[in-house]
Amino acid sequence: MSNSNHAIVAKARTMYGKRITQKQYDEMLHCRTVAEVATYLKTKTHFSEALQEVDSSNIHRGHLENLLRRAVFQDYVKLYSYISNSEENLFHYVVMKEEISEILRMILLIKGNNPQEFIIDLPSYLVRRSHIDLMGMSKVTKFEDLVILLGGTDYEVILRKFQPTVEQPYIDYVGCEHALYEYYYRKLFAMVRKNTSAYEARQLKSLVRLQIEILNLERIYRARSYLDVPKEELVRSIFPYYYKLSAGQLEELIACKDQHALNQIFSQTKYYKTLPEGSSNYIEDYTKRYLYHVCCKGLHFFYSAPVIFYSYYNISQIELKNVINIIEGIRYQVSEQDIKQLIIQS
Amino acid sequence: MSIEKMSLVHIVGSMSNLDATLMKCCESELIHLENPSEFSAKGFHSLHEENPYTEVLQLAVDVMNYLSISPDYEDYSQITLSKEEIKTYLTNLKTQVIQTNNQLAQSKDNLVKHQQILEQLRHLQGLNLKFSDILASKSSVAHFGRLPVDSFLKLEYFSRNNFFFFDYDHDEQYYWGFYVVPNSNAKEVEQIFTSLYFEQIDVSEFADDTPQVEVSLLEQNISQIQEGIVGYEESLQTLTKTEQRKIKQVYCKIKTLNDTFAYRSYVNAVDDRFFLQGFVPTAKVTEFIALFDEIPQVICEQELVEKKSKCNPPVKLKTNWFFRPFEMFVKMYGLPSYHDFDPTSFIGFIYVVLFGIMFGDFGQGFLVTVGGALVWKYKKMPLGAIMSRCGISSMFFGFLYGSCFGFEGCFKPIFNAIGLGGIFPLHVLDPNTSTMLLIMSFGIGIVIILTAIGINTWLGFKKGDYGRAVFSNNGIAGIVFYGGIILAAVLMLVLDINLFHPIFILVVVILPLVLMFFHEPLGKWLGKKRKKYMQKKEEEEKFSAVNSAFEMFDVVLSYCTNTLSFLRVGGFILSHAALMLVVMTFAHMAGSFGSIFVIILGNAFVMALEGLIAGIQVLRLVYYETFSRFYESDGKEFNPARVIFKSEKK
Repeated sequence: MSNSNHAIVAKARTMYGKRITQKQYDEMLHCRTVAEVATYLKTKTHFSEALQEVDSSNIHRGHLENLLRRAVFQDYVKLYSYISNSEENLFHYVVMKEEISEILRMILLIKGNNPQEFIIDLPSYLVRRSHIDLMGMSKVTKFEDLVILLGGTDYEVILRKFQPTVEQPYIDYVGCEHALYEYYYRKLFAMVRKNTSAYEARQLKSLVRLQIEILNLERIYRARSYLDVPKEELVRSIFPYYYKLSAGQLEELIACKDQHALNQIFSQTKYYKTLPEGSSNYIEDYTKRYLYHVCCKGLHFFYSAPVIFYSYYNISQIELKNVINIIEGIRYQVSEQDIKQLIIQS
Repeated sequence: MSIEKMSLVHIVGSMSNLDATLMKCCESELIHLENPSEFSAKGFHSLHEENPYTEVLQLAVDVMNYLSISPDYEDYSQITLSKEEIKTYLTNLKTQVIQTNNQLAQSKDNLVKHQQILEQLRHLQGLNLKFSDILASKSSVAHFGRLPVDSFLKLEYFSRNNFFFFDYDHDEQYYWGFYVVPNSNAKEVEQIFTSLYFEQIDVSEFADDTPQVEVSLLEQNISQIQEGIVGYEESLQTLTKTEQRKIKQVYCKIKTLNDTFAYRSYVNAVDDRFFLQGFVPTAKVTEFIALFDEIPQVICEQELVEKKSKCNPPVKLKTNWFFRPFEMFVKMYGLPSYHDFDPTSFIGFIYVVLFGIMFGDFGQGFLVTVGGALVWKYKKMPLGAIMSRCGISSMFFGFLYGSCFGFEGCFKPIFNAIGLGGIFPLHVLDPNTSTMLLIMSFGIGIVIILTAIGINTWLGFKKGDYGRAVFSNNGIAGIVFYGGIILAAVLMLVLDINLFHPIFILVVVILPLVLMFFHEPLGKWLGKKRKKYMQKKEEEEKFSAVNSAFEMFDVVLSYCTNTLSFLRVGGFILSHAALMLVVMTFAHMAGSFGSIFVIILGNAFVMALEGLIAGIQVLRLVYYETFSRFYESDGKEFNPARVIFKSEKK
């Protein structure tokens, strides 16, 4: 392992050591206003540097969330500052995922006739790093214009298939999302195969497969528990990658009519054996926890920089989501108990 | 080296004298009151009353907290105020303090606000215009503030809207400036800036002049506010100074009344009579009973605690002054029961000797003694007293090793003078001496283990538990097995006498092992004459051959591992000498001047590192190799009724 990889491993572990603890989450949950949470984050957590100049007593929720997102992204930049960016690496895929997320946000806004709102939450840190013209994208008002703006990129090829037509005048958001992420995962696996050793590739592929499988499981559970999504549409949103579930099991899960049937099939999977007692009603909560646990293990026991980075990436994203859940929960006066249920920890 | 003998004391009297009785109990600090449920008799009921002093006590504690007064004892005999008068006094004081505190807090908030505005205005100093000129326009609106860097980049998107943003200063996160917008577009543009997280600075209060002038005015205001804060703080300090003594006296009076009243929960009452029971050290019973002579209608009687009685007296360790600090280690493990053996002096002796052997250095030992004594004197920490005793032991063994601050071979003239120059000082790094020290460590371990087994055997006989005394691995069977094998090995190695004949093996090895294997059923068989309740307890424990087999494996293994454990004693002697050798080598390399610093720093480092490790390792040896063989920590601590004045502050 090169010195730069050693540096990434050491730095990622150090940053992981500064993560927000259960006690800190509990203390944040006791805050009554967004300003109090901001002050807590500024004074008691690893976000203090990012929030140093902020007047926490008077901060807007959206601004605070943007600053936190930027701080987390800056951490990835710090980690990959140790190695040359000439060769494709995982950091490029962090940027790519954010680009896809912004494209999808724009598609949703176009669908809702509010494309002018895109600029408000556009992360400026991404504008500088992205390969696509995000500032230009903020001026787009129609799907056709978006496709033209993305001209020359792979995104253009993907999205062109979903251009509304006279026969199909509506934008197929689910189709766009699935196609973009399918492309992302395909490229990611190809890069892993090409640029990492066999051992690293095995570990990384497991992590990505787990992440995809968790995404699939969540989609199936949401479709059957809260929404009445037709089977065909659900199938379209599922990614064909497997980790602990077999293709057959996934098909069985998709074919279930309701949550009860889903639970029965799920109880025959390998996940069920590791499921804590009484938690079957909170599959999403469990799957995220499982991912968090696996990534923590990755950080503790592996010595490969890509595996460590990817584990840290997942953990920091979950932590960011936790903090945002707390901020939004407090802003919208959700009970402490309800917010607590959304907090993912190992 | 024993446990204080206790007597059961009964106090009976009329309810009108209950408070006076409880007050005497608390003042004497001699009686450990027992829960009424343990002695409840027909017709008696316990007292469950609301404590009338709690509210006033809380008031006193609040006032003390506000004024940062530490709760402590103050003679309150001159305080003649009633409870109500005390309450009024404290309430007035609290109101006064709260008022001043509020004014102080308001001033501090004001200061923060002014400082924030000042900080923001400083960023606008690049603006060479009067605020009033900008704000006076009737056709446009101007807003001052700061815009996040992210949002600043997005302004380009809104370039078609009718506004101007002028920035004067920026850092990594914000752009400071103001935007001007025609009245007709004001609402729309304000929404844009709000969505871009523009933080507006209210400059209306400072809208008369240029930012430079306003900054200097603000600085003047800030110094005025700061003066006000100093004034409030001084008035609080004056109040504390003048009222401190009286507040403490009032607190002590209320605390005494409150805590004494709280002991009513230990009282059994019937009609107009009360009944109290508790344990008093037998040596103090006469003194204790005499306290109640002056209270009419109160009778106090003594009842001796016998071994057969069912009551469970509290434990007060009675140790001589030298080993008393080591009670801390015994209490950390758990107190012995009342009828058991107090091991404080035993472990104190082992601790002092082993620490001295492992950390033998005359000079460092002297510093540990002095340091420990100072810690004990000023901080009253038992660890300080332990350190001072261990330091003396270190000095003694350091003298034998001829080691002082890492200089080896010291004190030779003294040993020569007393005719021991051929043996002492010991050169611990000499291969022959090192081997001797390691063998000596084994010897010490064997003696300590055999002593611990001996104590367990004695306790077994004392309690009539013959299974424990005779057949257990820590009883006579253990002594025969362990002692026999050690003796045979020593004779074979030293005198070339082989004791391992079939009869010896049968009697010293096989027989004890068989007895240990069956120690539970054999113990029951021998214990037939014991009390019924003990038999019942034992009947519940069934003999299991599998369990016993595993236990036997563990027992035999533990004899070896426990003995080997003591090798660390010799190991630390060598490591200490080696570390000091390293320090001296560095000192030699550092030259004549630098060597002084190297020696001082090296000694400090070795003292901190080795002192801590030796202390922990000895404690480990005491707990695991010694205590585990005989000690049962099921005693309850002697906790006399008393008023504690220092613990109220949170």
